[in-house]
Amino acid sequence: MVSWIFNNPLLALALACAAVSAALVLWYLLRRPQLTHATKLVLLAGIGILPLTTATTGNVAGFEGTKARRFCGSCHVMTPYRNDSEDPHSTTLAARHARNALFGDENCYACHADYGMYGTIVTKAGGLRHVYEYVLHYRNMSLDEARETIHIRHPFSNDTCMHCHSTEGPDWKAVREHASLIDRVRDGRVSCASAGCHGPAHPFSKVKP
Amino acid sequence: MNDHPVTHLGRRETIALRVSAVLTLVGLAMMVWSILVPTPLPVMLAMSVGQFLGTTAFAIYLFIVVRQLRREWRRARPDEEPEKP
Repeated sequence: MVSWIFNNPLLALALACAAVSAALVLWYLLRRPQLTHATKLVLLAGIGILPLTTATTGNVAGFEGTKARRFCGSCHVMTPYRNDSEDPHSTTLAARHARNALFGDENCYACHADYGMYGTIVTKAGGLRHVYEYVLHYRNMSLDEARETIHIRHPFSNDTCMHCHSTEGPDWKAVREHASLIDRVRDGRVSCASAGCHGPAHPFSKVKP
Repeated sequence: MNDHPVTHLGRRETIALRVSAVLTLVGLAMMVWSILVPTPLPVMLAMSVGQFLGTTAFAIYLFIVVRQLRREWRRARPDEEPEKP
């Protein structure tokens, strides 16, 4: 954990500011000094400037942290999805993308994010709904039960695939199936993840026990 | 002349300033928790409750200190002489 924090300068800065701020505030609470200009400046740093720095850097780091697979997989119902992504021998679409350096540790976010104009906000709002659903409905659910109950809210959009696979490249067009379906893929009438094409990204979630 | 003038706060202001210090500590604890354990609950708590507490603490501090500074400034201001006819 320590190396993970100190490899990220934002997190290190946030923690350092929090530590100094806590020390200053504790000094004020325990020593109860007279309120001179110096004390006011110490409190300005301890109550204002340093916590604001912690909050700002912590927010940025927090938003970045929410993209990590570790974050998505921290709800137990996502364990099979996380394990599959981390399995170097898995051949699922999700695992193959996770092994791509462009996706890496953020493969859940890279594929499930909305890339529209307000995509980040829409994605974060969707994430809040996930937490709400998890806390209220799925927290105590077994994995088998969760696999049958939890489904993606909207059909997976081709736009997300086309964020990287633009459908314009000569290699992509050279595939016979791509060439014959190009219009229907672009307007979403044929899903990239349909059974006849690349198949679902998490096939184990579609298998009936 | 005193180089370090002391501001004398009333009892309620002193308590408010201490409450502000405690709120800062609680807010900081939530933010640090979210950094050390970046899972949904700590992150959401830090970004909502933690920041609300931090902002409230800073607002209390600013309110007390700015009010006190204004009082000192008024006290230190020389009385204006009445205009002579």
